Amino acid sequence: MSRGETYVFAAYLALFAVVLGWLVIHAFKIARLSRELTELVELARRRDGKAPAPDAAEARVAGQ
Amino acid sequence: MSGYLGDVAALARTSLLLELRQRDTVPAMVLFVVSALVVFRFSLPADASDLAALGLLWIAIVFTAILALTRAFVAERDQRVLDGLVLATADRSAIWLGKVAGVLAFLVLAELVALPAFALFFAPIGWETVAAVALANVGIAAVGTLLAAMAAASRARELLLPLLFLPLVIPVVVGGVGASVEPDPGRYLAFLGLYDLIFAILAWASFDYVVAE
Amino acid sequence: MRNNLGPALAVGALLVLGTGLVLALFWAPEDADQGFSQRIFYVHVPIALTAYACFGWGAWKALRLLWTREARYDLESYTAIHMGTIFGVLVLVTGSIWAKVSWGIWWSWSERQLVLFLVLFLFYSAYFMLRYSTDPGPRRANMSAVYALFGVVLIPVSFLAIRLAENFIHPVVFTRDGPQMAGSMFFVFCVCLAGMLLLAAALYQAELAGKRLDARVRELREALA
Repeated sequence: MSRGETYVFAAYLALFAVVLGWLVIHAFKIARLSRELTELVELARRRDGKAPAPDAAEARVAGQ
Repeated sequence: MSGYLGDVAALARTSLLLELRQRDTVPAMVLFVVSALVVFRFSLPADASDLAALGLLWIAIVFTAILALTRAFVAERDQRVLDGLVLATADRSAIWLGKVAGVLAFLVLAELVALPAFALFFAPIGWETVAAVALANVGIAAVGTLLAAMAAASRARELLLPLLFLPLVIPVVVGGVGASVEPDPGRYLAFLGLYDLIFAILAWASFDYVVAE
Repeated sequence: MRNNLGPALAVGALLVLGTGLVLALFWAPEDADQGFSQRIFYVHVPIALTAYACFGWGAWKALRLLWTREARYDLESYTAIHMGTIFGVLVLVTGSIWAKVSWGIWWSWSERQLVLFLVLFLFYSAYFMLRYSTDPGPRRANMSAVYALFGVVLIPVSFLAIRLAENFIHPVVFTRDGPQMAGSMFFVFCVCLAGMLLLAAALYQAELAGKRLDARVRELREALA
């Protein structure tokens, strides 16, 4: 690969790296939000006095 | 209208009277700018041109201004006086204008020493430099006062002001150095005037939002 | 419609930018002077224009905040400026790479676009410092909005300053061919520009949705606690 080609690909790769980096950060964010929501669902169920039933919700999602 | 100007005059008078009594900001600015010029003298190589030295003059002015601006809202914050001022004045931009007048006065006083000192240590300065300094003072005071109010509201205070201020003051430095150095100073002086006009209006119009809750 | 905007933008970005980049790398004609390295132009300039668009969008949302005092505009303004800063850093990176391959140096003070973005990068970095060092609330929102407005005004003023400064900062000027582009080059440029804008919009939407979800989860936690 000529010198020019190397630099061009480096520039395009920089763009790609930024977008992927953003994706990584957001993947962690989504994971954290999922965890927090699970916690809060637990909290809500306990407040209502019902027994925690995490499998029921997952079964509903899986069944679709 | 006299209410507005009355507020402005009162605020400007307060800043100046406070300074007259405490006598801390202006002497510090004067000492700082002279010390800075001496440090610059040691940092320039022997064969450096007068033009390079003029660039350093502008750096000295900018950082001296930061000293003055850091103090602009300190007294108010310490004594929660700013909250009272905000409630008392009908148009908060009067606070800004009053503070700007105070900062301008301090800058001029410091420059009355700085410019002759520069002429003594480095090279004589022409009318274009003086004109550029005068125009730059307006822009620096206008933008700096607004940013000082922002910095005063944050937790970082004195740390934040230079960070906010320096990018915005780059055009002023360009205009000032250009007017001092270039054979045709008119363009640069006009640019400084343009900067002053645009940013003074913007700062005047938006100060209300910066101090309000 | 609101919920479909994010995915729609993402799909649009994928299709348009994907096409644009393929065209830029393989279909666009080779530049007579610069050769293959000229193709960096197809990412560098669209990214720069997209950054300006983000800062402008952020300033518009800031204006809306000051006008209506609705809190949601603060988040939207902040996210737009965040996007603009990310793209701004990309401008500096791609511009640097282009400078290196064109002139053998990583930085040139005679490249006006690069210098402008350096100044803007400093300015908007200070924006984040301002936000991080102030307690959340209407005061922070207002100050951020005012600062964002100062930013868009600074863009043309700085550009003018940089042009004026060229006389005494750097006498040696490196030049590149201006926009005398062949029609096909211009077409590829436009596709890449559209794609880049769609990418920014998609990232903006996704980031905004993420921040709003964050806020609502926090609200839920407070309601349950």
